[in-house]
Amino acid sequence: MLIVARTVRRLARPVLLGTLAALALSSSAGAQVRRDYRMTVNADRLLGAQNESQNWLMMNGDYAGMRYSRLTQINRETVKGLRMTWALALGGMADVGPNGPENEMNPLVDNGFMYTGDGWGTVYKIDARDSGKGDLVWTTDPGVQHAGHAPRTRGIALWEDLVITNLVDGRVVAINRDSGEIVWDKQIGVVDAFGNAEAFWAAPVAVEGKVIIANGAGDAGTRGWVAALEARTGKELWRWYVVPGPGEPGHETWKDDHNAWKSGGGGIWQTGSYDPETRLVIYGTGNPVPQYDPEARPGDNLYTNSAVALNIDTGKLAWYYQYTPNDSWDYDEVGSHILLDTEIGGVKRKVLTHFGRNGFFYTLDRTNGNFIGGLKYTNELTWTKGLDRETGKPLEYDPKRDVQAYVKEARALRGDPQKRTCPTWHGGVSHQPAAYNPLKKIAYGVGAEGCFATSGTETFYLSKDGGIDRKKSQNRSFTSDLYYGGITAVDVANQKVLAKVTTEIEVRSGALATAGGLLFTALQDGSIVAYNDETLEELWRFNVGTPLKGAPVTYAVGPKQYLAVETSGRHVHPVKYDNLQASSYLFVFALN
Amino acid sequence: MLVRWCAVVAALAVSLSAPARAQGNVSLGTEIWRTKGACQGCHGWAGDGRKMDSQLPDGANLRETALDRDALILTIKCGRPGRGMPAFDKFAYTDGRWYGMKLADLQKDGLTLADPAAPLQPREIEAVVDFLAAKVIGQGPMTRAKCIAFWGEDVAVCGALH
Repeated sequence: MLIVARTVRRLARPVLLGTLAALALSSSAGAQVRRDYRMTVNADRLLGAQNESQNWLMMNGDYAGMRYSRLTQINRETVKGLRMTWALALGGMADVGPNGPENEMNPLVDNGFMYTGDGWGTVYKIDARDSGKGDLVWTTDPGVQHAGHAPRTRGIALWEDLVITNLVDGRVVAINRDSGEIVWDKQIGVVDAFGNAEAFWAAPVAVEGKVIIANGAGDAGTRGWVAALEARTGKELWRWYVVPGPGEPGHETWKDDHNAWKSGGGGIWQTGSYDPETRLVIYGTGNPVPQYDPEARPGDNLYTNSAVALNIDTGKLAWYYQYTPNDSWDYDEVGSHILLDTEIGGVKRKVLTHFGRNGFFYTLDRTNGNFIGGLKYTNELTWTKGLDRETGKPLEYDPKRDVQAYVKEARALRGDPQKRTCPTWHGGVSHQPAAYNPLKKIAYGVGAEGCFATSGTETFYLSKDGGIDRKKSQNRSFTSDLYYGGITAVDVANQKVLAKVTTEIEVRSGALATAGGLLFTALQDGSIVAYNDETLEELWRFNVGTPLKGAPVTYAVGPKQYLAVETSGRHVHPVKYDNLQASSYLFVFALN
Repeated sequence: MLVRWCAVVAALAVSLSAPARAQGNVSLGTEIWRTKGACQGCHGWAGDGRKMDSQLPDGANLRETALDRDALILTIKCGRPGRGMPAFDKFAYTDGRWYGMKLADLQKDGLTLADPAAPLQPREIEAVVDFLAAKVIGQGPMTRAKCIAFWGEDVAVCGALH
């Protein structure tokens, strides 16, 4: 609004001052434009989102998922003067449970106005134009029933004059951004034949009149899927299932005799990327289910633990790349897939990069999914001896085996006692949105380091028709005290780890890179931290006294750059900072 | 004014086409009744008008209400200006969607409109009415047995009933 308003004012000024009749005529025309012009978040603006450095129009900043801002007012020299300038309490604190409200998101910003949400799905519009305070413009609570759900969100989307949110109860809701009124409200997620409920956690992606949503409840035993809705109406246009049904390609990779595919998981619980050149939406998929019993689902279990590229118009699978076939460590790969162009080994490539939960940093050709490079980025990694240089598959992977062996000492199968494996079941980088500086060609991942131990477990099914018998199935035993947090910078062109710092416990938020030479993240102990983006030397830290699971964002209003972080939410493994109280707050910082 | 208001509600209730019915959402409605909507504050936990907070307006005895489903939904959405019943549709008097009236029109008639504990979405209002239909309307006076069934256990308030 600010920038456009200024432009319109500039256009209108000669008119107001002018004496010629012709100019007077254009004056009224100009005034008309000014009154009627409503700049909405249209397709062009979203395609060029990174160019609007004053704004933050989608969850990860742009369709490529770079989480990169060109703003430089807050930089390596000035960052020490960063101070809190306003705070605003949000809602959603009722019935939150031990993890708090799990607001794992950041606000979106469109020319001085912020849009954000809380774990129960309430959406807030905030007037952020005043440097000293944020004013709530409207609050819209879509009315999620708390019983039977947990409050968790990873973001919302903007499309034209709509704010679109998808909810833990399987609904998708579009809200008029001016009035806060619900325009459409659709029950898209359902309860499956075995009583497992689909749910939405990942931010929807608004692309060319469509809203792309994904079922995240893989671990609940539903099949993950991606669907496109018509943005104006919520009408479903297409849907693609992560775990293929009978007759579909990939179904042959579920070789059991009890229809394990029906509750095969592969939930998608982090937002995807979009490549306008190839018209492909690219998502990472979750682990196969049951998580810790690969013998219950012999085969590679496509398309779990994969990068998948779907045509935006048809929902057809264009290519896939599976990271960890027949997984037994909960190595989901839902984390961000950043789309970028770079030289690798002297050759210009259109690639995507992905910090794997399995401990490798992957670079793939984003036009066809071919493997380009894999780099161990976690301090410890024991489940495989390494990746095949040609295929990127784990060295021990044998396509003829129904149940993969991998490194025996790190792989607990049925009847096995606890075995120690690295990285932990939390990763690596799990879902925490990564960042990329396109000028320096450095990618940043924030997540966990260290190891865990888990026993083998046997899963039983209700019948040959499928459905996990949870009463009869064994529980695993595990440790969750062997790990810590890590922040990693990877030089993409040279495929090497540039720098790493560790933190006392895992980082659950996300990364933000800026042209000011900074990398920001937020920690479970309540600290918001700025690092030198090449050395990861710490330059600034502020503690807000409540655990943080949302990634920072930056934006500008007029001449001033701001940094915003939304609280809160703990992660119960490992249990540290137990006494910190959860909250639902927005904290905003600027230079003095 | 009251007479006119009720007549309008009744007339509209008849003329409105039945909205899509929420099926069996009684537990959601119960939750909203007790917590988010704070309905029991005025109407009593049993919906019998024995309000929980003496400072709040007198709520109708809904166990004996003659309103049908559509009239109940309409009343919850647009409230009863001047009578203490809030409008749970946040947009009720913003754009003339109900009776062509806006907040200024109510004020012109000297009618105050109470704020709801929280605005409710149409689906939540449907759920509250599902709850009323299943547990309150036409259920006769609250008894000890009904109280235990209502709360799912023998809570303190049931002890005073026979």
